[in-house]
Amino acid sequence: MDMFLLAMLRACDYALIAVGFALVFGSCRVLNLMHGSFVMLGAYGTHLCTVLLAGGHPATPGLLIGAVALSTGTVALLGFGFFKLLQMTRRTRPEEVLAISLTGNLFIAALVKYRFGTEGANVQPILGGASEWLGVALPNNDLLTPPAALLTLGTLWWWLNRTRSGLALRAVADDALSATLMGVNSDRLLAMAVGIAAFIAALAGALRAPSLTLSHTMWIPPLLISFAVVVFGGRNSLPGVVASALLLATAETVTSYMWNESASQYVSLLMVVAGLYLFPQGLAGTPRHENR
Amino acid sequence: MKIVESALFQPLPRLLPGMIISLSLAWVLPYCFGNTAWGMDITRAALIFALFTLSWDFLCGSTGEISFGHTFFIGVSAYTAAIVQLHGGLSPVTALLLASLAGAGCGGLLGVLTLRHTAAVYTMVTMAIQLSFHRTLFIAGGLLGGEEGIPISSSLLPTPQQEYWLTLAISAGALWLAIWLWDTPFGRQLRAAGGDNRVALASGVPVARVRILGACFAGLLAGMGGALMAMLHRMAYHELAGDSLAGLIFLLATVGGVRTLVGPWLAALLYTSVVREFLQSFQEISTILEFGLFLVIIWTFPNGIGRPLGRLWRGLQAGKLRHAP
Repeated sequence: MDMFLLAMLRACDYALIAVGFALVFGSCRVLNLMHGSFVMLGAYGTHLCTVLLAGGHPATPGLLIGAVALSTGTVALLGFGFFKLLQMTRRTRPEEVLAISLTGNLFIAALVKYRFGTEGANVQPILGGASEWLGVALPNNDLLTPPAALLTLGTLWWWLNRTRSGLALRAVADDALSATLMGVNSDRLLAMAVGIAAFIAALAGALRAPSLTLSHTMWIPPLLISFAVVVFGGRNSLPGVVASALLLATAETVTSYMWNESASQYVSLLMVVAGLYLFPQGLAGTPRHENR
Repeated sequence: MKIVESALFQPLPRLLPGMIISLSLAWVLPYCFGNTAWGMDITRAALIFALFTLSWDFLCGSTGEISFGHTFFIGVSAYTAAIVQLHGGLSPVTALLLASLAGAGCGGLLGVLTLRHTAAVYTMVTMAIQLSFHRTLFIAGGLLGGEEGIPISSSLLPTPQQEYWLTLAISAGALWLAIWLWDTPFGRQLRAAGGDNRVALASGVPVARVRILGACFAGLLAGMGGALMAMLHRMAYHELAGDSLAGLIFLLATVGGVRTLVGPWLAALLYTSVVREFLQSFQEISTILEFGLFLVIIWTFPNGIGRPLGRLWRGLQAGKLRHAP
């Protein structure tokens, strides 16, 4: 039972980290590697806002929630601004975005290392203590991730399927030129999608920050998780992302339980290689000719 | 014989200026560092980095894919070179040859595993293969040395000067070979296979075979570089198989100009020997300046600085011709 609960928690964490990446990858058809930095900035932003807002006093849950809101909002604006700048300078070809976003990650990591040093920083949990669920003791703060993931996925699904702007974004993802000819402002929508993805990534970073020691290299694991979950799941599908997050999280938890934590990542990577060899379009992806 | 010769020297006029500049620079660099053993080592490391980026550009420039798996070849070769010397008692030269072959084998494996993949899926699979190997270094720490790596006791050649000349010969020879292959029927087929699979297949190009062979050749070059790097540092260490090196190779190839071959080679040589050494004098902010510079260059010249410079050179040549009496 404890293995099942830990796998579910890990799957929710992975889905929350990867869903924004899937939104951008599916709609813009570009690999925005800055996603890893958005997660890192969400965590560091929460740390910084907590220190600034608390002013040396112990932080209350209300203040911590305020710090998370401030941090995620700022990262969302940063994501929006980053993509807007790419559009303004006409650097939106997939290989351009990939190269610029990878360099951006390394630059931000260097800035974070300079500002916060190499000694890890810590973030206070919003909910302290632990509680018992089905005979398993879990940190209360970790229990915030499943509702946050469900809420995010549900809202995203509703937005993409029930609102005018969401449907317009799907139209842009399907055929940007036709959507533009129909009067859709595709540039603004795509920048908005990157902003929303940055917000979700920062939220994931802020929620997982208390269980981690923050460091300037922490942008790499979330990026790998997002990449693996989205590519393995099939980039055009939210259910695919959920299924892929579940599969990878279960495989990692079982390996971690049976063997050790570092071997768990190894197994999930091999699973991605083998899975993509068998299903090149991912678990739920539809074949589509790649635009070079 | 005449046909072979003309094919061998076919791309020479087009790439001659770049080749001459690159080789002169590689020859002059140790003298810029006072012709000391330290200067030789820096230049050797730069020439090996040039070999890495050249290998990346040959595979990824021709197929149009982006690979983060190059450090898989480099890492496997570096560890092969160390293991066969430490446990097999083989000579460094034999170890270098075996390691290069191991790199080529890894290239073939990556080629087979990514045959059906393009774009992001290709990138993901190459990254996953590289990361799997990197994790293996720690999981099998008892055999592969884990965090500390595997030491190499003997040097490749008796003096640093001889090692420098050998590295220069290998790196420059690889550049020549890659340029020559680029315009052979095999090179053209490889580029066709990277353009559009369906069109290439319809035109009779054996896409699977040329992609695997291309990956083998890239693995061979990168493997040779990996073994040379391990021998230079007298250690096969996990950073040689790491994601930071994979990212750096991609960035240097992008800055140099993907699909130009000479551009990435030159960019790696200049960056590793001159730019990085200069930026390290800024100490704490050196990394910020390093990646800031990368960001500015890649944002301003997304196709690399090799092409604009080439265009400028051709423009100057055309201007000269126009004004000739």
